[in-house]
Amino acid sequence: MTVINPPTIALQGRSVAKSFGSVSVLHDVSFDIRSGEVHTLMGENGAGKSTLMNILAGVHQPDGGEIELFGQPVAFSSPHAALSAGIALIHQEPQNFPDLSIAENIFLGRGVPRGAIGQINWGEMNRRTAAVLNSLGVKLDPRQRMSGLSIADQQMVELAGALAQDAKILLMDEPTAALTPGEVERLFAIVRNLRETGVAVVFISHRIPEVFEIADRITVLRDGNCIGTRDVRETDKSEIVRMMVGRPLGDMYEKPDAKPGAVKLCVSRLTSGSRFRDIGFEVRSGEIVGLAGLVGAGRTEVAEAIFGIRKRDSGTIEVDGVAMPIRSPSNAIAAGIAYVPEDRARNGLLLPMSIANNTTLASLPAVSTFGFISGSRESQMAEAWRRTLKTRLRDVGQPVNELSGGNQQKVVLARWLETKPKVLIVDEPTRGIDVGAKAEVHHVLAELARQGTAILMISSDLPEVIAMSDRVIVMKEGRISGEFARGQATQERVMRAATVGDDAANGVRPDAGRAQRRWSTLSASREWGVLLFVVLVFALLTAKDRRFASADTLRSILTAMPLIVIVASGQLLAILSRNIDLSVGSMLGLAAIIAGGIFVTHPGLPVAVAIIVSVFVGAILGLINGTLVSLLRVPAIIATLGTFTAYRGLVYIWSGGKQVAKDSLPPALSTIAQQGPIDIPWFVWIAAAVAVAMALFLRFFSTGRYIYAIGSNPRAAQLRGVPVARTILTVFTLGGACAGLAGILYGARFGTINPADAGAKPPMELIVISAVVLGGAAVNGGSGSVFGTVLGCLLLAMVDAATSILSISLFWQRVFYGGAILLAITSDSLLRRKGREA
Amino acid sequence: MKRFALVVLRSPVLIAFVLLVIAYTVGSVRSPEFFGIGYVLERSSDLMPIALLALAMTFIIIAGQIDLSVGSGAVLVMVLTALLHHDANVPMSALLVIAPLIGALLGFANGLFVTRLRVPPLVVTLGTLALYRGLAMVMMGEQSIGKFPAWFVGLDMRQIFGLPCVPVLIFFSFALVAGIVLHLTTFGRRVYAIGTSESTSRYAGVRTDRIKLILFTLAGFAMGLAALMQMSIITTASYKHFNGAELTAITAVVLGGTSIKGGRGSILGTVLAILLLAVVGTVMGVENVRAENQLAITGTMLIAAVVVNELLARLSRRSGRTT
Repeated sequence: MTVINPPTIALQGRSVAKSFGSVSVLHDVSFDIRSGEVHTLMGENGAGKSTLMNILAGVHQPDGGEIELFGQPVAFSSPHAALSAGIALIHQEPQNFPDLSIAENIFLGRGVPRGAIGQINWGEMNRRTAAVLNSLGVKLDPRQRMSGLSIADQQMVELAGALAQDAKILLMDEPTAALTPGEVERLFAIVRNLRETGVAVVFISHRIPEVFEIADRITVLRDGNCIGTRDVRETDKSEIVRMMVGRPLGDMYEKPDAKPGAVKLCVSRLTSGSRFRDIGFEVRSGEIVGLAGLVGAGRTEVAEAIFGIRKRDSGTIEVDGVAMPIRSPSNAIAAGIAYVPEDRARNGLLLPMSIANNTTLASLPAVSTFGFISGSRESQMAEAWRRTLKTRLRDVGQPVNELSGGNQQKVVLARWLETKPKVLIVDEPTRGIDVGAKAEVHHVLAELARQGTAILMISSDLPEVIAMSDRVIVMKEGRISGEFARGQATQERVMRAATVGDDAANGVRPDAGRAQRRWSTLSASREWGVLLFVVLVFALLTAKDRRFASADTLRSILTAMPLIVIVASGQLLAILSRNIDLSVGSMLGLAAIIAGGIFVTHPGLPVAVAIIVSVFVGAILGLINGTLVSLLRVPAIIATLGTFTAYRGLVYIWSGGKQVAKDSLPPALSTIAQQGPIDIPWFVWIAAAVAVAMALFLRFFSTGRYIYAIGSNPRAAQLRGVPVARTILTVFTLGGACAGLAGILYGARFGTINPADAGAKPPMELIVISAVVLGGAAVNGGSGSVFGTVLGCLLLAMVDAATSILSISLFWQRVFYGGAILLAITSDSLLRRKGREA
Repeated sequence: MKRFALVVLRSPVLIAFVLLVIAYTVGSVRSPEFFGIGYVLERSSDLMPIALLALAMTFIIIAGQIDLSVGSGAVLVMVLTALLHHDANVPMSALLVIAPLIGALLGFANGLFVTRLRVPPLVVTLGTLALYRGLAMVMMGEQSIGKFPAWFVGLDMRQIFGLPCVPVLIFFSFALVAGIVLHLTTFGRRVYAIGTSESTSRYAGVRTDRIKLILFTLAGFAMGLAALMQMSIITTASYKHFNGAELTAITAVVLGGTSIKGGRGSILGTVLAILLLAVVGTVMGVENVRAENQLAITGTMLIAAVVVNELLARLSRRSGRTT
């Protein structure tokens, strides 16, 4: 049935504008996107495509103009809001939670299916995930962890997440950039299916052949303006390239012709893993070589390899004909190479520090005598460069972040020119700076070349490349795809070399995800490794001394565990969320002394009341920790280091230094630690209940999963609309409540509560942190389990028992705790490194 | 006046100074004997070993790192030194050199973990915090070793200019050296650079790993010095010393206006904060506040200092934007 209807306009923008600081990125962009079409956004790097997508998806808010969704004006405050309205953005670099399953990555924070008591309905969630994945024709297990997936599969999961939300408009930022040809085919098949169902797909691509294969319409942006929209059937490749590159050269400064001198930099057969392969070129004295290509083509990576920041697998770098063994930036500087990085704020500047400090950073010896910096020489140097480069500033002692982008760039240039480099590499030297400063930077580069410096200029600004370069080298997908002499290089030729040509099979494609899979499954099963270790230690100890396997020993191990299991369960939450709680021992002590003290003032009170008081006190103390960390933004280590002592001090103040004596505590309390069903004391049952409850909480409640999400990727959690502050508050409050419960049980177990000992001897925080990391939890958060933590506790309890049976000094415990932490982080680090290298 | 208040609020070092003046005035009013500077100097001696640790901690925190093991490391050096003297008959004069070297070795180990394994220094030094004190306990047991040569002990009793101020003078001398290194040398500049942006520093050819390794080693060196000074003042060695010393050291650094996030701070601030802690400690001593409660007050001050610093930073960012 084909009825010709006028196409439905799904999304329409009128005069959308956006500036970042003083730089205007989108001027006046109007466009419309229809339901059931594939609409491609094209344009040079920096044309404003990604910014436009981010505005549509609610990541940025526009400064001007209107956006209408199905005829209704809309304004999104967050990506979460945009998604609820049916607009989904698939990032080029997937924003997800590597430690969570595929199903969770699709549903977390977006209406997880729930059961009768609000628990996560995993079965339903996995079924619905499987259904969505099926509809995409993707064969993946919903329960699989995200970290084991290839980039293409991660993208599929993001896509599935968007569809599960009934997205009507899909925005995809360069979805094909990281895919193999087969994967691109699969993606396109899915995109065509979606088009059939009426979804509007907007995607950014630089690969002209594939655009003509898939798109219905093409909109070209240039310099933040909309150049035009074309129907694919009514246009051709040449017209699109012309639209993309048609910037006037008129106002661009042109480097005067020069006769190049001797070869200064010679790079040959440079290869680095999946980023680039077989790169070879020369730069001569007096020459500016433009390195053009798209973002992601590997240009910056090549520069970083030459400068020693990125490891290279093979290839040689010669300066003045001598091979240089460059392994670090300091090697490169010594060899006479300088590199002005692309990301000024991140890698180029010490933002709060002064202009003078920034200028001299790479040549401190030149302004010092015997290692002492001369302030006046430093200022003179900065002053001299200010005059040479015409940097506009108040004085060289002013913080560099007060300068405009162009002047900041001159400060970075000054730093490198001061090292008097033979070879200068500049990466996007004029990005984000105004026209006047741009011309000045061009003059400086031309003058340097005239004086004999060899310059390699990475730039996505085609007119700049054409006007400034003596030669242009073009990279595409990690390889050199073209080289043009001055005069031959036109914008269209360069753009074609960077985009056209279906030689994708030769290109280098990142596929790191695949190799990591094995290692990530290995690290996911760390709990089983711990279990194996526990069995091994037990066997060894039994072989050493038969008494170890006796019922008495097993019983003593069992009764040594409840307190640490309870406190460690709370600590696990903190570590999972990328925090730490050093105050658990003090909270335990304070709760114990307060709850135990009740029996002194009110003899005959039911034990249950003391338990409730103890838990409540702990929760309040934990809430204070949580408030400091989540609301006042005090780093967890500092906050809990402070409360660690403050709470301990309160223990003394509350108790007046006096212990709660044995005869003040009711016999019913110590019963908890001595008797119970099937001859196992009550407090063991309580600890087991806490562990099970904690495991269920982490598994079946949204807050529990949020803890993993925050630890796994805090930024993605924020973007998803996960309530980060509330979750962290919960983490610390529960941690406090656990410590509080352990407090009253401490009284039950030891019969007295001594203000100096409870929770402090041995130090509870060290025990439980050791237990948690020994149990396989990652120190950087996101992964770990109650099961592992209990095993960690078991291991510690066994070692304690061993020390007493083998009559080793109790003091060895502390050595063991420290050694355990160091052992765990060492293996964790080695495992991660292996994962990266594989 | 408002302008003045604003200047003070924006400069954390000045806050420490103003607090110091207030604490000193309060102390003098409460007890007349307090007013003599000699009394404060005498009472401050006990804090000076930790003050040495705080100097090293200032470097570490400005570089964006942290070292929780300084107290445990110091006690391990103390135990090893005492055992070498007592059991192996190594002369105390030789140990004056050996002890700081042992400390440097412990710090070097911390640095290796941080730079080679790329593990956050927080977790590494939490591990060595337990390990170093544990080793000290195992080696020393419950005994405590005394009987050091007469020339070695009683550093706090000796008088210069008629005042018992040798530990304080030693601290001031090291502070002077530390201040010169941090504020005037290329090394110090690189420390600030790493704390401000490790990435930019690396791109500018700063050997960040090497500098971090040196910093942790220096912190170890300070552990050795602190151990020696503590032994001289207390006259005995046991594993029980320096409990919570890392907390006091970090508190001093943060109270002195050094940003816990790195990149900002000064030796002068740490020195003023140490004096502030010494004066507050003396006041608390005069008022008969128990030692444990003094620790609690230290903890509260640490939190307050971090919160106030953070709020001030937000305030100055906000007013900075409007200008």
